[in-house]
Amino acid sequence: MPPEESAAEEAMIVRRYRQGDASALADLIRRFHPRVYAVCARMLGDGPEAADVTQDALIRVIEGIDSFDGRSALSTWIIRVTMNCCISHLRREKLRRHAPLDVPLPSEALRREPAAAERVELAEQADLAMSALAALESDARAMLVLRDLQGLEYEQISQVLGIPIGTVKSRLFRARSALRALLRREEDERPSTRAPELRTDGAGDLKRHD
Amino acid sequence: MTDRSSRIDRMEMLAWIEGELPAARALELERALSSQPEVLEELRRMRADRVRLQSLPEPVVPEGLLAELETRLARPMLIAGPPGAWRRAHRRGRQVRRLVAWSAGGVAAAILLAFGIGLWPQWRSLLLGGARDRQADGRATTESRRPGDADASAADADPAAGDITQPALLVHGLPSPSADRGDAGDRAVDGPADVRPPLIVAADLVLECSAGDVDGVERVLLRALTLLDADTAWRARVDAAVPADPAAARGGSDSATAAIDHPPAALVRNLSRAEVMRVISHPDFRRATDAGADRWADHRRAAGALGASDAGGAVPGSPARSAGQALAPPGGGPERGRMPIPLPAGASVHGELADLLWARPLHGPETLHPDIETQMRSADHGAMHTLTIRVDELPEFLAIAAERSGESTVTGSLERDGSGVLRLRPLGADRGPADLSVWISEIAEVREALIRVRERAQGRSDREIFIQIPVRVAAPAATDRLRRP
Repeated sequence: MPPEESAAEEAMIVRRYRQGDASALADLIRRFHPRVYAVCARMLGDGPEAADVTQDALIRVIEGIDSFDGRSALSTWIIRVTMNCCISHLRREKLRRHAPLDVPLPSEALRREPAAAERVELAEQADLAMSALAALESDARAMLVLRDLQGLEYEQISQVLGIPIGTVKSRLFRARSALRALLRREEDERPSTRAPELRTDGAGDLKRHD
Repeated sequence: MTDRSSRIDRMEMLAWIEGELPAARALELERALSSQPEVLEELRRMRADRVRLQSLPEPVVPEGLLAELETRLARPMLIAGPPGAWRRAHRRGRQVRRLVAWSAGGVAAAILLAFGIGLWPQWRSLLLGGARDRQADGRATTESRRPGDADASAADADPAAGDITQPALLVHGLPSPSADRGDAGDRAVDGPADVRPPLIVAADLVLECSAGDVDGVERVLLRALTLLDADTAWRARVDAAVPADPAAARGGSDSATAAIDHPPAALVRNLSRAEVMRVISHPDFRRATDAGADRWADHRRAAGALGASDAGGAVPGSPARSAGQALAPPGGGPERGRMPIPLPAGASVHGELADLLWARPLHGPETLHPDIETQMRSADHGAMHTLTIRVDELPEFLAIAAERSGESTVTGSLERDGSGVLRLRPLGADRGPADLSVWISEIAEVREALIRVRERAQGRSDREIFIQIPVRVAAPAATDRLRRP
């Protein structure tokens, strides 16, 4: 869905809610709960903790919807609430996601895919990426979750995390460097897990280069 | 990685990784880094990592997550209504106010529920926790309070010397009656610092309790009575509501009932007689009332008239409760647990105190958390009782009310229609029946009260907050009905 259409639909939900449409909250939950769960799952691991924190985040969204002032997109605000819940949870639990890189995290979606050779390889790479993501410090993980997995722009990430855009960029670069370091270690040990090299073709488009 | 080229900084490298550099600039960067192949390789890998992350599948939402969410939301929504409404009300209620929402014309009408007597045994364990040991039929308790009973005799001889029963939840501190200030400006002794006292919210007053502080109980009860007595607006309402002609009052006008049964009286309704005497005998009370010796004498005389076998006295709001009347509750005498209590002239302005004086003499820790079952056994048609319910029990209370509503009778009842749907028929009969859920969502006064409670709760959990709900029993007491499972 084009971003402008999405923003319009989000605004409509808020408008309906403020006009007293009781179903607006239910629509809001139905629309956003997958995304909220996705953030929680990538921040906390795809398990019961993510489910619990997802509920916490949705409840906070519901309780705080009246305070949403519309300065950001509704989705951005919801992700902000969600990320705050995740970070609070991590701090509270003092959790360090040092999942060993040689033990891939479960990936149910991939397991359902037909076992083609190419897909098996991609599944291994995906699991490795998820393991590395899980092994990052929470700040770095948050940055990559927001940028790569949620597709947020710098300004949106700035709104979610409450930091300047310049800080967003510098942290993002550090996060990518940290992820690369983790993956490099694994790739050195298992060359088969090395991702295809990507080069630009002068026009800026990425091309797969094996 | 080091960015030795002065023309390439990390932000440009990031932009290249993110695919945000214009093509020409991207080529320049690659050429510039051609002398540092390891750096360029690293950037390429980081770009590939980005694509890899972007290609990760979406996590699958676990089945039942939304159902669990609904369950978690049900409880606060049951008490507080839709979240937005809660938040809006919360924002409006920043200034702590007296809980005036429980007015005769508002919440009292909205939450007056008539329940069958069969409800009470089931409720007791929920509402009281460790229930006191009672005789099976309850009559032994009342019968034991015949004249000559040792305890009663001692209290008769020196009411002021009778120990105030130390309820599980005692009181210290009250908000000032003159302003809707936040925390009480006149606090009694605080409880132990390491023990957070529970919070009781009762009708028009918010009280914070500390166990074991008998002096504090006295002080706050004095203040409670002072507030009731000094509340000129309340007195004016009572005066206006009670007709000048006692004969007309005997018909039991709704307006008189509503005014006299104003929730502020519910606060101290269930004190024992000894407690009442001790409080009203206190010199501070006499001074605080500023009523002069005659009014204090009225109070004392009325309190002293409570018989040893009193088990609830006259029915608040009964037709006989009017000025200057010797109150004879309809239909019965002492054998039904009711005692005629003569009221002095002008008693209408003391209606709330008269309510107090008719309180059941109770013993044990539940003075402010009364034994409902025992009350109900001696209850009479139209009696008003105060339920003290912990906030976290409120959904259960409502659920039980819904479940048992079919046993209720008369007006203001929760009833099941022919299709089994629970409906509330409010008192007044000018409104049609409503679904329980509608009723719950419409108890705006309760919601607002709870919002203000939580504002005052100072971080207490719902298990530490009690609310008192006036409940009118519409059915006459009947022992056999008590035994109904």
